[in-house]
Amino acid sequence: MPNNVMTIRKEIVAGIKAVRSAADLRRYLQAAIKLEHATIPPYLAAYYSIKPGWNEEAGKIIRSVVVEEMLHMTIAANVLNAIGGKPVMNNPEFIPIYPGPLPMSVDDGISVGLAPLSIDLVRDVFMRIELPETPEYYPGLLKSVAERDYATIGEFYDAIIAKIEFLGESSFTGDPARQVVDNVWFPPDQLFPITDVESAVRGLKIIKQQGEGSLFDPMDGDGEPAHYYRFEEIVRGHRLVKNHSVPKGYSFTGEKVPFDQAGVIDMVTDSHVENYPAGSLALSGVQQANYNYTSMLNALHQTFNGRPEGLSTALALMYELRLTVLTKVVNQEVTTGVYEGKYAAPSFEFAPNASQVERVPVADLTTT
Amino acid sequence: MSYLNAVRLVFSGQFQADPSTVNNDVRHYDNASFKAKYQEFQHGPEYDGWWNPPGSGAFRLVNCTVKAVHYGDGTSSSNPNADTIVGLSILDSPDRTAGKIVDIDPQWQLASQLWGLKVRLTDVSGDTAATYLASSYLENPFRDLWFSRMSGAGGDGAASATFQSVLTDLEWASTLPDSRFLHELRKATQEGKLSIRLTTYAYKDDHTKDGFTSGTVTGVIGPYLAGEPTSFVAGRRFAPANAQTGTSWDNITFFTGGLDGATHRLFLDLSNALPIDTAGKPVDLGALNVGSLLAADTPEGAPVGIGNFQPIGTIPYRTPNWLLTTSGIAEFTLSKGQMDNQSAATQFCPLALAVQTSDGATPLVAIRETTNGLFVGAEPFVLRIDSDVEGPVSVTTKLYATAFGQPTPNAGLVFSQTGAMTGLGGGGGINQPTAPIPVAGIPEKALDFPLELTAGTDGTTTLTIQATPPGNPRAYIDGQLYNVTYKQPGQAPNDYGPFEVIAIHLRDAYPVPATPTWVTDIQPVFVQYGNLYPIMSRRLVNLNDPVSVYEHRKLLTLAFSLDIHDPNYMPVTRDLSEGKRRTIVKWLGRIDQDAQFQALLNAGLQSPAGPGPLASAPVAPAGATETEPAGGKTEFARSLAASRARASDRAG
Repeated sequence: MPNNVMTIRKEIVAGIKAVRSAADLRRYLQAAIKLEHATIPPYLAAYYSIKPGWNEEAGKIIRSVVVEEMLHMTIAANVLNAIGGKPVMNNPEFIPIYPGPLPMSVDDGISVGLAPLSIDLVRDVFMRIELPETPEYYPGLLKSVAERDYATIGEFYDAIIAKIEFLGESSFTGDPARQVVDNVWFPPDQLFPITDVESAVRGLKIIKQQGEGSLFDPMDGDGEPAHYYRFEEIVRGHRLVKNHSVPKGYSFTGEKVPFDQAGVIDMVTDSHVENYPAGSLALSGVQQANYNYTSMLNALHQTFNGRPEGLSTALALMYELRLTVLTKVVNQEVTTGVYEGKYAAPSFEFAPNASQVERVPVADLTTT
Repeated sequence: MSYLNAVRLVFSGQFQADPSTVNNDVRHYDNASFKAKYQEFQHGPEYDGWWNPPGSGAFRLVNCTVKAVHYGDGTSSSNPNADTIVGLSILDSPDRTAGKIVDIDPQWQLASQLWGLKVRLTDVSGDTAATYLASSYLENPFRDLWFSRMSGAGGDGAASATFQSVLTDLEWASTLPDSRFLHELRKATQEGKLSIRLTTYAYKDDHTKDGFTSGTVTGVIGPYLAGEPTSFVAGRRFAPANAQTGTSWDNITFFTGGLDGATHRLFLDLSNALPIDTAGKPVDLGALNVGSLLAADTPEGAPVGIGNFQPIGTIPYRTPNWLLTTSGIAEFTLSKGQMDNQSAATQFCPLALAVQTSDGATPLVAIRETTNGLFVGAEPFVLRIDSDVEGPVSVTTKLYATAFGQPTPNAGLVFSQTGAMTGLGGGGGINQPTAPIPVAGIPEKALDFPLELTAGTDGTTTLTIQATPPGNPRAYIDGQLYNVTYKQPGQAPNDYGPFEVIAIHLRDAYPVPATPTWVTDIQPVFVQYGNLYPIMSRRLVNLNDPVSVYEHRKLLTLAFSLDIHDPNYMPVTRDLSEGKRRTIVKWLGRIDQDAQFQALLNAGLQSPAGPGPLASAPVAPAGATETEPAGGKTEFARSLAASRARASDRAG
């Protein structure tokens, strides 16, 4: 049976445990940044597929998860900077190939693509990406520890946290001026400078908790359900609320989260720029979206490499990407070729014209 | 002579201009009579939101590559093996949002500026890239817009214009390739700037067709020399005889040349001047020769030959791909005999293009230099002025007076206001908006400036305009739009272009209130922007919805606090007065203290606006509406022509 959940290769966690210096740990933080980013394009693709005025609650839920994934990227990058590393985000290797496994995944791990929103997509892909370790809420999906031939995302972060605690304060050799703490975008209790063991552990625990909730509590500590449960709200059609009359203390009996497939654009699944007809508006729209997306990664890369005030510039590109996709991509019906009859979709591919990669590519964990 | 220099680089490709067109009709600024359908694409004879209501304002350079480089000795190369710069990409920003194309006002749509545009020279190879030069385009507007360039096309698709500016904040790579061109360019240029000219044409404004919002651009980059104007060449100005059409009998429009007295080299920039066919190729007018008119009063259309015309050279405009590979610049070296007619030491004869429509036919003057070679350029010629209740506000613009490309020492310059301009910036079709079209240009007393000035020995002078609050003469739209004309005595009406005026948006005074409120200060402004820019109000933040405003308050504070050169500056149209902008920022900072707003916010939170599925199809599939675009600039120019005709009738 394939491992249709988010998995991490066991040797990666073993590798973290074997780390003996901050320098050795950096590549794992870079891998964490890459992993946190990898879920954003699939979520955004689904979010962009919603027609204006439709499925608004579902859209808000997906968007809220995306925002937190961006926070997680930011925290991981701050930790990497704090231990003297240099985050790399502007490289084509940074972007996963969709459909495909997530970074660090076992070979038969979940395959993630770019698809229009549907209940099946949320249940079979998004919820599995965000699967928590707490057995209460996902009977049957996750194998028991003894059976598993993979590690979980929680174990990955736990190993990093343990190693940071083990290595101690002397690991924090990074320039504090490189910390990105722009509280226009994220509140100060979630985005703060990471300068020592305490702040690093606090930051990494936010990633873990927002993703999967704490043990025996589906809430993420900010009063919102963890990602898995937020996605489940779409599947169940109701918000998750406290309910003392049920054994688990929570039930999906809150406000309605209506979903109507008619309110989703019938767009291309796993869009690739090379498959659009030459000269078409669909093609120019997808190209422009790729240019925006690559520009955003460039701006993020600069932000985490000595230009911390640049987060607004990067997030403005995130908005530009959205406007491009909504007004130049998903409204374009493809009239010929392999995508004929579908609406165009963003492909989240690297745009060479926007490249800021110098001649020698930077290697990272998943390419080695 | 700016980019009209022996040392220059030619590039060509596509541009994208994605302006929102809801603001094409000034009547859409009236919140009281605004209808939701004004945010929709034009439906047949109903203009509604015109041809691109969801426009983002973006201006981009797309797939532009270097076609040729030219050297100081007059040689050139289009071979990448000879000069590595050939074939490289000319690109815009890779790490911030796109530049924006912006009109100063709905009642002056004939001088669109480019804000926040980055221009870079980059070697893209696979997934890697080396940027040799990154720079910022100074926000100069286009000039010499004309509407009948492309035969067989209508509306804005037939139009063409040039953007001339300088590139600033030059960032050269620490390691540059071994390129003779880059070496010569860096040596020649001054003040850390470069001169750039873009010529844009073949624009596609039909949203149902491929290529929508894109067009062809051909550009030149050359040295900038200290003291030169940045937005035009103070050179040899060619003007058509017909002031009404702005084109010569042979359908050639205004253009500029430059003659280098030291090297005897003549450069003509014909990139925007010659008519083209629907494929973007120059129309074959016959053999075109440039030469000196030996009798200064030889008019356009007159036959020329031995005795009244001294040929200099043939314009090779019929060479395949000439426009894209030369950017329409023709270059000639004058002999001593030719220079005798083009020299301050002897005399300047007017230059002319002579056309011979077929072998053996008598050559005729297709277009010629202005009367006595006179020209006046103003820079800047788009002015935003924030009036102040405390007293007059001064702004300046610099005038350059020349004759045959030489400064006119002590030139007398005359200035005037147009007075009332009626009917500017409306639209046609049926079911038009009901708001009245405001009269522009009044009250004249809000602007005060000398009606005459004498230039210095270098032919330049500075015009100072004193502005006082216009008193909200347009009611539903802020401030007033003025035109100020400028000329040298001796210039005939056809010697300057129909849109060569100083355009001024004088904003109403707006002292920042001690406690600005949503209802009084913010909502009227926000609703207007929300109406005019549906891409923002529908897709980002609905400025008419307290819940949405509150949710995005930090983002709004940021966007309304940016430098005007930042591509993310809000509003994109850069038409908000400083007083109102500061009021908005102040209000956002104390949003929790506006009790009335908080009440609206709470009411909104309890019963969300929840528009439900829009009545109009949420996704407008391509091909849903088959209409001819109104053509924003075309429509505006028509309204201007009608306005001028009415003014002339009144005067007569």
